[in-house]
Amino acid sequence: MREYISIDTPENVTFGYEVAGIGSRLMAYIIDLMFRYLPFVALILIITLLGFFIGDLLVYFQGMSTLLIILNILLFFSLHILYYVLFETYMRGQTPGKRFMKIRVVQQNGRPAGLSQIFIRNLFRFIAVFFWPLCYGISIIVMFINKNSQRVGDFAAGTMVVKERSYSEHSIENIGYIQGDKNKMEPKTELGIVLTTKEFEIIQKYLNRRSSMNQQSANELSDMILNNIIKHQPEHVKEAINTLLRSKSINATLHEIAKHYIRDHR
Amino acid sequence: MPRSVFEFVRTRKQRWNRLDALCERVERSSLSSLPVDDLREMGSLYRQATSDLAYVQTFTPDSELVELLNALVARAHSLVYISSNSSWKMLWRTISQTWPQTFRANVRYFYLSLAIFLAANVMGAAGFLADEGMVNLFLGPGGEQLLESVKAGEMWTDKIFSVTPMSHAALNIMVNNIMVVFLTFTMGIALGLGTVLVLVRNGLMLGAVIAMCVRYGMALSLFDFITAHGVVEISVIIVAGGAGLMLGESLLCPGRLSRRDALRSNGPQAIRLVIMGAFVLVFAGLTEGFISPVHSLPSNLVPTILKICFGIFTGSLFYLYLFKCGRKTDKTTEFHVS
Repeated sequence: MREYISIDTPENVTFGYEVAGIGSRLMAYIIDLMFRYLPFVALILIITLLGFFIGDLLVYFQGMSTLLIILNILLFFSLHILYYVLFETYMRGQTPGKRFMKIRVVQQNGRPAGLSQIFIRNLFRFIAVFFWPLCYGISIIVMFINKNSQRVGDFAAGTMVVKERSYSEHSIENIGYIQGDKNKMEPKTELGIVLTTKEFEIIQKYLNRRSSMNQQSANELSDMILNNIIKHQPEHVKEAINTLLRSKSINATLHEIAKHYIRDHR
Repeated sequence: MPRSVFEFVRTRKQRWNRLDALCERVERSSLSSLPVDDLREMGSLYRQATSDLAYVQTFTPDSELVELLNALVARAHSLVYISSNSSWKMLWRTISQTWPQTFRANVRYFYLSLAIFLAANVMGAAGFLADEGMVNLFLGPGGEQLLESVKAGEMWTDKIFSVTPMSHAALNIMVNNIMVVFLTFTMGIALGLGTVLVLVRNGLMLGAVIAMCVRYGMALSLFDFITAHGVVEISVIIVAGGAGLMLGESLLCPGRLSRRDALRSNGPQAIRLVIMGAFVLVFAGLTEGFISPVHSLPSNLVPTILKICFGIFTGSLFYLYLFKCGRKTDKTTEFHVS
């Protein structure tokens, strides 16, 4: 159930976002809930603990009801609205919970959400605060039935929440497109095997991650990968690989297979 | 053109890494903190990356390389095409032009909302005059009690302010009003029915209270209390009602647009009106808390007259703002619907 949104850039290139699912959004919500309430829970704990040593602190606050009311109001707004507005504005569409779940609010055209859109989408939390069981219910149903998983506030603001994948040099290396010594990469045998790009990438990723896996799961995984690749090969390739397997380990065989792809695509 | 994907990655890798690093830097601080040279470089690196993305989309589709470059382009795209940050100048332009212009462009919703509210007023008053037992229906469980106190010749508002300090009451009232305004608006998402409900309920209440006070000779006291802030406050609620109806209309009869598009184009405009209302209410709340409770009836009429004048003055000011402010640029400004 992966939904993609494609976006055309002014450069006439299309890139895409993967829409964040309800699960990750709910998880982000729960994390944010923690962040929102934790400071106050901590504050109450501290006041209570201090109360053991210096007596009831609340006595000092008597006759300051105006102050308390102001604090109460500030608390309400910051807990339910301001928290989201500030974080999503200054963290480019993310709150701590969203950052943890690697999701982000963007406009439907792929551009970053501005202050006004963020304000609108979070304003709708107001209704949720008052009639929460009804509204969260409706919100989740609405999220289920539209393919962009937008909630009501997202519709009004023209925003959506997308998954964030990050580019890094490490991940480029991991998928095997950066190769070192040319001679080392020359296959020593001729298997006649033709790999798809996806298969090559899977082998590379496995070989790179192998050292950090435990022996048993590494073995299981390499078996699985090799079997899936062999399945679609013609008979003579299967035989060649089986012959190779008699003299070499599975890992070495996979390495040898990958070298074929590298040579074919050089 | 590179001969293979390996050569392609080898030759482009440095630029991608550089773009990634620049993005990192911009995200940490801001676009404006970047030196001019780096900024230029980022622009050209971004364009390069988009063409690289197009290349891998063509030659190695369904590979992870596409996803990685996609992520890089998406990240850079969101930084290169970032919307401009707001400044004081923009804020001023928003207040002095955008808000009243948005109001005028959608003034028909305001009239509709006003009509609903006034009709509810009349119904409330007529209902009360016909049968006093309806107070509970209009005013909720406290209605009966309120009626008793009005019959006894005391304003219920005296009670509010005799027990709580003024600033406290002002804050409470302000927050309460802002809540009502937001609620009036957001309920519009229920096909506008929620908004109509809130408008009718408040309209019935006001109508019934006015009828009650007139019948038992408390009219002067009532106007003494509500005029100073009421004109602006009720206007704001009606404006918010109009905004809620905008949402409702875009869902009920979107016209040539799809419902989603209609909501998307009406939503931001409607919200603008609501935010304007909240701003105005902050001031109205202060007036209500500090000016409205100053009373000296029945011995001295002067403060009452001053308060009524104040109410009329602020009310006219509000409507002047709505209907006249930023008129010069009315036609030239196209509404930016994002």
